[in-house]
Amino acid sequence: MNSKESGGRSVTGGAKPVQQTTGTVWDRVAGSRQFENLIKAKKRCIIPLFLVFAAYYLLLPLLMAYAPQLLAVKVGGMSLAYLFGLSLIFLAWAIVWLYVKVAARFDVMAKDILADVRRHEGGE
Amino acid sequence: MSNSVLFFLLFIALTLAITFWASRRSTGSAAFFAAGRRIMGWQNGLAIAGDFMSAASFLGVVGLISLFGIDGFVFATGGLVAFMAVLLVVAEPLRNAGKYTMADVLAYRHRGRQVTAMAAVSTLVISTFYMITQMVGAGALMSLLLREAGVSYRTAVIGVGILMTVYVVFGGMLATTWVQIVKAALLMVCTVVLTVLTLRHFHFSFASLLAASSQVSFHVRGQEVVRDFLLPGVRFRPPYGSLELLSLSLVYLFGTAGLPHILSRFYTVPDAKTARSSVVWAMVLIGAFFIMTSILGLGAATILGPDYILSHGGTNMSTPLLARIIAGDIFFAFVTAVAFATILAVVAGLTISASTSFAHDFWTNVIHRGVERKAGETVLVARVAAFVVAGASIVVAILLGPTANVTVLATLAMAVGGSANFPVIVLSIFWRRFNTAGALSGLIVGLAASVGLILVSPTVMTIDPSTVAANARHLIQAKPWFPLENPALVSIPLGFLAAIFGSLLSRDTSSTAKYNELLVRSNTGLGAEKAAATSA
Repeated sequence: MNSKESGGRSVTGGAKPVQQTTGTVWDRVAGSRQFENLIKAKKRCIIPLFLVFAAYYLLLPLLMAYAPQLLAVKVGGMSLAYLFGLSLIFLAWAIVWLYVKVAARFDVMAKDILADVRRHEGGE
Repeated sequence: MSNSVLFFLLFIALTLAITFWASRRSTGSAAFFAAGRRIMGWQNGLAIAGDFMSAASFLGVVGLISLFGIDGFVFATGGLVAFMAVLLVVAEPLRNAGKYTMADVLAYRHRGRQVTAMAAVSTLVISTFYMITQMVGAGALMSLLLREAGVSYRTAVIGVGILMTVYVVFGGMLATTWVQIVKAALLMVCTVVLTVLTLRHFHFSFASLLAASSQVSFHVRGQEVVRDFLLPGVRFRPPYGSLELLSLSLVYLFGTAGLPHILSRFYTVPDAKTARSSVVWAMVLIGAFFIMTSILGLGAATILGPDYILSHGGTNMSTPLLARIIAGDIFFAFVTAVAFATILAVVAGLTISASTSFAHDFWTNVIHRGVERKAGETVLVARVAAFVVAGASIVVAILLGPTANVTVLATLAMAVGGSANFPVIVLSIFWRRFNTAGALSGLIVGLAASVGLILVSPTVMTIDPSTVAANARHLIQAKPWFPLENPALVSIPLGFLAAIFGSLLSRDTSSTAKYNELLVRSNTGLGAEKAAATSA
């Protein structure tokens, strides 16, 4: 089936000479310092962001189950349950904003890698 | 009531015009399945929001808040949570490495056609089950909203079914996308107006809305009760309440990132960066929408009161009734038309994702080994599949009837998304050692565990009192073997474990060798499908 994916894809994908060569362009890119840096940077950003958000969100069912009286506390006319729901939305927006800022750097790194590939492999 | 019908006809005319316009531009597979990959970020964001915000979120959430209090809102925020995994984990890699479907991404690393076939099966299970729920809901809702115009359940189901087929068959993904965009825009406008009017009722004092919400009075069996609607804790009760909650939360956290009709939206944009910005748009819109639904829900609870809502159609009528009271009959008609638009956009999205998966994954890639024998064959098959899927769901929805208990199907769809699709997508993208055996066992166990556990859960297996109507009865009249209504707490970990152990037990290393290709593709966009250069 190997021929199916690469063959079928590049035909429909249009003029894209790079990956049609030997197939090892993937290994070369994957092994490059630039690419390793990109992956490291992505992991450093994505994993903590997701864990922070997931932990905060899962706090809700735990609180509802084990400390419902805490969620019933009123702050300025609002219950903590309502505030928690609202805060979750604002936290989500904050994380989205943060991720978009950082991801702009990933885009630049990816672009550099692509430019490199074109320089080294494009001639074939 | 003729106002409602007028708005409906206007919306139908608009969407048919969109379909006609789209049909003249949709030539070729990329145009039909992915709208030529030229949808802009904000447009796709609206379309994702339009795909995701179903009648359940527009009418259902407001209804739950207005009858039971703020719990309903706190759970609804799960809908936004769902997109975090989509944003951070799946959207960009999918756009970079895939063509039309989730199975495309899996196909890079995994040998043979079984993985594609299994991915297609789980996609079809999710979309058809989800569709049946939507159709039953649509029929019940439309016959309720249009009761005075004499529209029956059956007419409503057939009408919705025909329209969604027309959008998909003639207009493909481009028409579906624009129907979703129009729907999301209408929904947002409608919600903003209603929110402002609700706040105006309280002289733009949020504090007085809160004060009123903290003492809502209503009747329970003839006795007057006053309750604080801002307090939590009515919906989920011991002994399994806390686990049930956790299970529901897990489905939200992981289930959406495995829903095929959401995933296929990322193939309609030019590149991964636009895929990212479209999720951002969607999250901003959905978040704002949920904040407003909390105000509408509390508004309905205080302005109308639970007694009035229950005696005028129940949960799903809260929003339209609120609109009628604070904005008049014309706005009531507008709200019912928006609810109609909401349903249509969601079912159209489901129809195209089911038919794309059947045609592209199953017909072309599995049966014909990735070769399209004649140009345009895949699109033709997809059109036929859309007819079949739509026809089948119309028939099933009519057979089930308006009172059928279909929550089981919706729960199932989300659980399969989280337990079968999500683990395999994540491990394919992130784990070098992952292989074909792991992907297969993950998909099979995830699917089987979700279906199996639901069959023995209280959603299917419950002893009904003899007063329950025949077609609303639970399928199996026995004590449930599995205590939770939602299987995710068990089935998601099972899906992951099966995928991991399946990989470790197999000596197959061909997927490891191809990991670099997927890794480079998904992270840099090297070799990604390009957008159509000009209009066809």
